[in-house]
Formats: sequence, structure tokens, C-alpha cells
Amino acid sequence: MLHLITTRLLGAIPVLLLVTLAIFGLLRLAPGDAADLLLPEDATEEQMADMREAWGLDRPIWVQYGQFLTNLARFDLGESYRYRAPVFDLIGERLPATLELSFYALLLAVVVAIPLGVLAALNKGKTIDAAVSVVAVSGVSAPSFWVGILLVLFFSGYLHLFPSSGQLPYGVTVPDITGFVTLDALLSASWDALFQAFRYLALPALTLALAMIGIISRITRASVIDAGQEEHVFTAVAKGMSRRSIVRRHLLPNAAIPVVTIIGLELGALISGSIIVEVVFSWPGIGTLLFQAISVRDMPLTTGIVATYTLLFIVLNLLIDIFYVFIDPRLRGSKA
Amino acid sequence: MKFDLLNLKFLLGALLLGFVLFLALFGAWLTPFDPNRQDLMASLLPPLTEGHILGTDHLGRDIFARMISGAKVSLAIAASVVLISGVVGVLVGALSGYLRGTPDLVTQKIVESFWAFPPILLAIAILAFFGQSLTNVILALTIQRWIPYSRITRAQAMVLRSLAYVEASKVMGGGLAWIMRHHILPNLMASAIIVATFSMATAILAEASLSFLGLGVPPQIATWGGMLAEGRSYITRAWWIAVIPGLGIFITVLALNLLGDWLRDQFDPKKNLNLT
Amino acid sequence: MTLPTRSILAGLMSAAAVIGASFPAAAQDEKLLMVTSTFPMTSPTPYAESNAQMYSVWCQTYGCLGRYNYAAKEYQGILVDSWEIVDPNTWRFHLREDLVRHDGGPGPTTADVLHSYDRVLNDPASIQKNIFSEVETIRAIDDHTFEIVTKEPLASLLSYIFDRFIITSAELAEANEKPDEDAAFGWGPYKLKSYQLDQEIALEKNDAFPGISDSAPDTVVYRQIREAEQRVTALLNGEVQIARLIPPQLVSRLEGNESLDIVESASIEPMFLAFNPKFEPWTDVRVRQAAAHAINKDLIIDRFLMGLADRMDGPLGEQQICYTGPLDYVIDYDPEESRRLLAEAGYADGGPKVEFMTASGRYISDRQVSEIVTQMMNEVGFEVDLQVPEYANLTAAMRAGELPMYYLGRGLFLDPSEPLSQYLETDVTQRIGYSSPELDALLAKERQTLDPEERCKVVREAAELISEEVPMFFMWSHRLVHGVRKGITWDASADGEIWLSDVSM
Repeated sequence: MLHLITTRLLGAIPVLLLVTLAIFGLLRLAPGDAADLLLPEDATEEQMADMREAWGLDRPIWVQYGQFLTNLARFDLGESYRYRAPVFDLIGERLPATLELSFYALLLAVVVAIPLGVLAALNKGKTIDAAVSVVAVSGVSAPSFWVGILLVLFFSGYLHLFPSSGQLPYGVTVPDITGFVTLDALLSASWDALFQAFRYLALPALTLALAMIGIISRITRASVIDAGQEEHVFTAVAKGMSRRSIVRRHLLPNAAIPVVTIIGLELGALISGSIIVEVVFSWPGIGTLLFQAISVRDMPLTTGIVATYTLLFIVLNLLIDIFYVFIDPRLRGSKA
Repeated sequence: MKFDLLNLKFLLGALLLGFVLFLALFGAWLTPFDPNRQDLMASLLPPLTEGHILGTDHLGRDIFARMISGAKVSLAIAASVVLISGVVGVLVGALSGYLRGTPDLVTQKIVESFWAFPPILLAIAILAFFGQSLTNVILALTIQRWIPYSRITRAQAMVLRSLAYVEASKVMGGGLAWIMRHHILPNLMASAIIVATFSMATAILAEASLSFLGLGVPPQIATWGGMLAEGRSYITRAWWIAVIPGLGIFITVLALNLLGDWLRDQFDPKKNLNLT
Repeated sequence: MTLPTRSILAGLMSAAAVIGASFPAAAQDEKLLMVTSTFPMTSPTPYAESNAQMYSVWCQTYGCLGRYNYAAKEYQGILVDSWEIVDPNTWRFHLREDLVRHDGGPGPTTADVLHSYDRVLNDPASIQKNIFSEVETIRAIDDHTFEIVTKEPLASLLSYIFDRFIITSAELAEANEKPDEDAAFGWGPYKLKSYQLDQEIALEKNDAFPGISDSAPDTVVYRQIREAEQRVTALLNGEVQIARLIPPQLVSRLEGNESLDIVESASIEPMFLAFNPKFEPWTDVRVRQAAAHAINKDLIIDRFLMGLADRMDGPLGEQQICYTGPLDYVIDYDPEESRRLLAEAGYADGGPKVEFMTASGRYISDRQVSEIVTQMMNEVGFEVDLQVPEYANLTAAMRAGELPMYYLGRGLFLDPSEPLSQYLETDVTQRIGYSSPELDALLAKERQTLDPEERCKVVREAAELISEEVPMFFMWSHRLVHGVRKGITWDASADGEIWLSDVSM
């Protein structure tokens, strides 16, 4: 186990380096730099030259990358050109919002998709199965931003049930204990804030969940069907066990592995794919931050966020592998 | 290999996809309007007005004509993306899995790095650096899509490598390319086709997302994603501008997903779950 | 595995009741005004941003020299109460003596002015240095009088600094390591209450400000909502009371709604087409004029922009300083004239091929307008290749002088002096690559003519020249449309910003 963890984390380093080098290179080579974009319309050429000098943008690219690496070694991600605050702090402020949204989206998806998948598997070939299939496939067939816009228009614009954007209404605050709004509200027993937080989470989480429901329910269905082929299931049926018990004791545990895998993969895709949803809903996460950083060529911030995504992804895969090892002792000590 | 053609998934999927393909290929003869011709005096007309079957958009362009032209472009982009990423992915994966050792290790690291990028970021970077054009959109969409193919084929290649007949071929002097062609690739076709079908679906969705972010193809080329993005602001005044392309995307992607599902079912032995 | 249906329904209904009742409502006696914002909010340091909204916010909190009152069409002091021109290069300002700092401290003094001048020029976070680009120095005369000395006589000095020179306290800067965060006290009619990066800024009324109205809002929150549809939805939901900058195609969502008013104003951001004479075919003035004649501005304004733009002919619109009525030389929609000019220029058998670049989403319907312009030009014989680079690339290329033709807007165009110089004066920038000794002379002269009437005559001459030479073809300035909840009175001004003490609730 320890071996697994260390190899993985060490293996992450070259990946991080490659990724940051690529982003660095792309940003530097793209026309336009931060000085063009952050200074006002009537800035003089002299001002822009000064700014470039201050940020080191006029030095050759390998010098800049070298500087970046040296800073990275000291865990210094640099300062954002736009916000003039340490990148590390900015990411730290916004990351919880993205993670929180992803978590609830996933939770929603799992809670809906797994029962649906089981239902479809148990009724394979019948109308219910087809109906679930249709729902599942529809979920992955519509563009997420489109779904988001429609949801806002309907639930917010016409029904006035949910707000259209943001994380909390004005005047409602939660103490910053963990950075996760719902958790902090819970911990500080601010029930009104907790309620509001969920209201604001509802539409963006639903938008993200819809695509996942499709995938997860399909995999659940497929793996429950697979699990149903096992010997012990036939035995259980022969012994006259109730359907419910069979599902619970024989099917689900064995179907778990592929399902958990897909959930893990989805979470990875989710975290990075939530950029658009964050933009549509003005959700204060790192997705919106990244998008803005790219538009103004804020190199430190962009590189920092991309590195964060990469690291998250690696850690996520690692957690899934650890989970595998727990679930199936046969896998311990074997190579992936 | 017997294919079950009376299956609902196949029928529905083939029907929908066939319909879309028909429109894309022959639709231009069904309408007198030029998809790029603006007519401000005839803007925002609802469907079935003045000869415009699906209405006009904010610049007075006929939507049906644009849907047809958009179908061509969206399908062409998706097909190109899938083809290129498939070829690249299969080759890379097969070579990597077959050769093992250092080439494999290096390739895997590169794969991981590509995969770790948030897809949008890479697309934005490419379109920003190389400029916006049809080719660059395809490039931006392809750049990560080859990876799933390489994963499957690598796994297969590693297994196949050690099989007897492959060993035999090596002894008989078969070159790498020959082995690829005759042993490794044929066994991968099934998985590759399934991945391709789903990949096409996601490519269409991805192109729509890029257009939404303002990074799609240049304005002269109509795509469904672009139409959807433009129609967004008019949703209360002229819902058809956005709903119709959205529907187009939905139907096409749905068809592809159904067909992909069906294909997957065909390649697995049939199972019946009987708990009564 | 099924729940009783009745309890689900009951749960849903009570949830709906609670949800419906919980939109933020202001307390009975406190007037809370929620406003939408689209500008970046990246730092509580008042010198770190340079956009209309933040200048407006800081002017109302810390205070600046004064503001331009668009209704009265004159500059009005906030921290200064009078000013005069002492000699062609020297302007003298008198600070008000009746103000008290938000924390009870003394009113603004010259020491604060000098400290702020230093901060603008030398604070590492400052991007406002350009406001002093024509200023030689600032010197103190006494505690409440100071002089600004310009490098050369400059008629438009006020447009550079008046509503942009934010005065912060020298005393507080000395006593605090981070005065902008821990001691954000100024002298303006509003106090800064809280600043959340890129989310919201909250302001509180300064009841001690002389003459502040009772009906002005007590608390004001600028809430960041970048997407236009979200702004409208937020307004309809009651989440905000003023939704600013509604694009023309969304205005219909507000119409017919009994609880809302639609408030409109002109703007000072002219939209224009630029033809760079350094590139063929734009070297020939006839080709430029031909392109201009091909464009039916009225059709675009009526049918596409839904009437929400004020047509411009030449660089000055009614809102701008030195507007003296319509120009004599006007380029009207005349496709026949276009074809004739193109034929004369040698393109009788098929027009010039041109590259046309524009942004997408940076200005109202910029891309769509460009598509319309493309077709209009194609109709008279041009072959236009429209490209939509990412905004960052577009700006970089524009500034480097690499764009043959583009469609853009220019904000902060209240006084034409600086923008016209920036775009059209030889060697100031490379943006349009146009060079005319005659125009250069006119621009230099108007800059230095301190008498307003005389100056405006010279400006008019320059405008006529630009109109005829047409390196920049001015199209219109968009009308700004805002949605305002009934019960709130706000006369929108051309900069789109809200002077809070003029709002009544």
C-alpha cells in the first residue's frame, strides 16, 4: 500500500512538470500578454513597458520558466498579475467552492442513478428498462450549458423558486472554518445559511448531475447484470431468497467495483468539466477563475490552477486505486 | 457474427442518424435559402412564416438552411476528430503496448500529462495561439480524444504480444508493421468502433461548448453549437433560434449513443437476468 | 422501496412555501439597494483598477476631485469646491473644508493630495499612472490649495484627472501597514463596508456628508453578475433592484412587467470601423469612403439593435464635450456611390479583398454587427474575410498596428482629445497607422486652446477632416438600458455608473 502511494506521488512529479511547461509555453507563445489586457485603454506604451518589466515578461522564456521552477520548489506559486495577490491564496479561496459543487452534483447523481440502474437491471428487457435507458441516454446527449440555461430560465426565471447565480445571497455569511460553505454552516449551526446554500447549489448541481446520471445508471445496470451471472446468485435464487436480499447481499457488493471506478472517473471529468457550468451560474470556483485568467493571460494564476487540476486528478486516481486494493485483496501487490 | 437488427436501440438510432445524414447530404436541395444570406427586414420570424419552415434568426437567415449546413459541418468535424484521434490513438497504443520498456514508459507519461489537462484549457490555448479556423477546432478537439483508444489498444497489445502465433510470426521474420496489421489491429476493431461511436457524440457536444465560449469556427461557417450559443440571448423573444439546433444536437448525439449501446450489446454474449 | 406519496407532496409544498418566502427583503427602515456589476473587482486598493465602475465607487467613498455631471453637462467638485486656471500650464484647486473623514478624522488636506499623487505614480499595485501622463508635477500652496502643472497647455486636463484622481489619507497610510484593507476611510458620501474579490462590494451611507439626501439608499451592494441573462433573471426575482447593461435582445423580458421600469441613457462609448491606411486597399481614401457608404447604419440600428443606439456621424455625439451640432460632411448610406468610388479606384471588375477582424462578446453584439457589415460591403463589391480572434489576440494585434480593418468601441470618450490623439495622431500609437500633418496640427492646437469656445471650433474642424478622410468610421454609441425596480428613482448617466446620492428610494 505504502509502495503504491509513494510510487504514484513520485510519478506525479514529471507529469506536473510537463503540464506546467506546456501551459507556460502556450501562454507565452500566444499573442497578447497581460500588460495589453490589464492596463486601461488609455495607457501609454511606456506604462506597458514598465509593467512588462515588473512582471519579467520581457525576459527570454527559459529564464522565466526557470524562475517559475525555482519558486515552485519553495512552494511559491507566484502572484497573480490581475489580483496582485498570491496565487496560492486565490486558489485556496476558490477551490472549496468547486469541490463542494462537484461533491453535491456527484451525490445527487449517485443517489438517483444507482437505484435507477438497479431497477433497469432487474427489469431487463421490459418497458422500465427501456424508459431508464432513454432517460440515461438523454442525460448525456444535451450540452451542459444548454441544460443549465434552460433550468435557470424555468426554475428561476419563471417559477422563481431558485436563484439564478452565485453561492449565497447578500447578507448571509458563514464563518470560514473549512471553506466549504455547507459544512461551515452545519458546524456553526447557521440553519438559515445552510438552507440558502442548498438553494443556491440546486441548479448548478443538477445541471452537472444530469450527464452523470446517464453514465452511472448505465454502468450500474451493466455491472448488476454481470454480477447476476455469478454462481452464488443462482444458488441464492434456488434457495428462495427474497429479491431484496439478493440485490443487497449478492448483486450490489460485486457490482460495486465497476460502479466505483466510473464514479471516480466521472469525478475527475467533473472537476475540470465544471468550468462551463461555473461560468453559466457565476459560481465562485476555480473554473471561472481559470477562464478569466486565460482571457487576460495571467500566467502565474493560469499555471497555478492547471497544476492544481492536475494534482487533484492524480490524487483522485490514487484514491480509487487504494479503494480497489481494499475491496479486492487479490489485487494487492499486483501491478495495474 | 450475427447482428440483432430488430432491436429497438438499433432501429431508433439508425433511423435518427439516417435522418440527420439525409438532411446533411441532400437537404440543400430542399430549401431555396442560402444559409449565410442575411435579411434584416425578415429577422426573428417564427417557423412557418413567409416560406421559412423553421423561421429566421436575428440576422434574418433561414434556420432550416442553417441547420442543414450546420449538420454537414458538425458531422464533418466530429467524424474528422474521431477518425484522426482513432488512428493516432490506436497506433500509439498498439506500439506502446507491443514494444513495452522505455518507449512505453515515456509514452505513458505523455499520455498522463495530456489527460490531466482540463480539456477546455487546451482548446482555448490552441485556438488562441493558432487562431480560429476549422482545422484548429479539429485539432483542439482531437488533442485529448486519442487517449481512450490508446488505452484499450495498449492493453490488448500487451496481451496479444505474448500469444503463440505472434511469437511465431516474429520467428518467421514478420516486421512490426505486419504484426500490427495482421494480428493486433483486427482484434481491436470491435472496441475501437464502440469507442468511436461514443466519441463522436462527445465531439459534437464539445464543439458546441467551444462555440458557446466563443472559440468555435469562424462566423461564416454555421455550426449547431454556434447557432445555439447565438440563440441563447433570444430565448424569450425567439425561442426557435436556440431550441432547434439544441434539438438537432440532442437527436444526433442520442442516435449515436443508442447505436453505440447496441454495438456494445452485440459484442457481448447475451445475458438474461432471471430472479423469479 | 416506495415512500408514501402524501408525505412527499406535503414535504414539497412546505419546501416551496419556505423557498418562496425567503428572498432577501430589506428591513423596513433600512434602504438596501442591490445593483449588478460586470467590471472586475480585483483589489481593495483604489489605484489597482482602471475602469469606470471602480472610479465611480472610489470617488463616492474615498473621494476624488470631482465628477462629471452628465445631466448638467459640467464638472462638479466632490473634494474640491472650486478651481481656476492661473497660467496656461497651471491649474489651481481649492479643497473643501467642511468634510469629516469616515472615522472622525480631519478633512482632506494638500498633504493627502500629494500622498495620493505619489501612490498613483509609485505604488506597485497602481495602474493609473496614465492619468498624469500630461502632468509635470503637483505642488502645495497651502493646506487646502494645490496646483497641478501640466507639461504643455492642456485644455482637457480635467478629463484626465478630475474624476479619476482618488485621494487617500496620508495619515492613515502612515499609521497602517495595509490602509486599503484595514483603514479604508475617506471623505465621500458613502463608506466602504466590505469588499469580496470578484463577488460583491458593499457601501454604507455617510450620514455626516454635507447635504446628503434622506432618500438616498442606506446600504448599496454591487453584486458581480457577468452573464446578461442572469442579471435579468436576478432583477425579475427580486435578487437585485437595479440590473445594469441589458443588451437589446433581452429588453423584451422586462417589457410589460408592472413592477419594473426600463431606464435608458446615451453612452460615451462610440463604436467605429477602423481602416488602416498602411494596408492595401485602405491607402486610397476613395476605398475607405466606399466602404463607409456601403453601410446602412439606420437599418442596423432599427432592425437589429432595436433602436437602442444613437447614430453617429463623425467622432462627436451629443453626450461628448465639444459637440456643436451635426457636421457638414456626412457619409450616408449610398451603395451606388460606393460602387462608383470603387470603380474610380480601379476595382470596377470586382472589389478589393479585405481582412476584417472583430471581437466577440466584448461589446454589444460586436460579432453580429460585423457579420452584417460584411454582407453590406460584399454587396457593393468588396470581398470580406471576417475573422473573430480571441480578445487578447485582437487587442495585441491592434496595438501593434497589424490589423487592416476592425470593429471596436472606445470607452471613456467624454472628451475627444485624448482618444483621437491616441488613434489618429501620427506616431502616438500604431493602432490605425493614419498620418495627416493637417490633423496633427489641429489636434495639437485644440489641446492647447484653453478657451472652451475657441477650442471647440478647432475640434469641429478636426472632426470634419476625420469625417471626410474616414480612417475611422464612427457608427453609433449604444444606448445603455437598465432595469430598475419601481419605487427607485435613478436618472441613468452616459457612463452607466450610479451616483448613489442622486438615487432616491
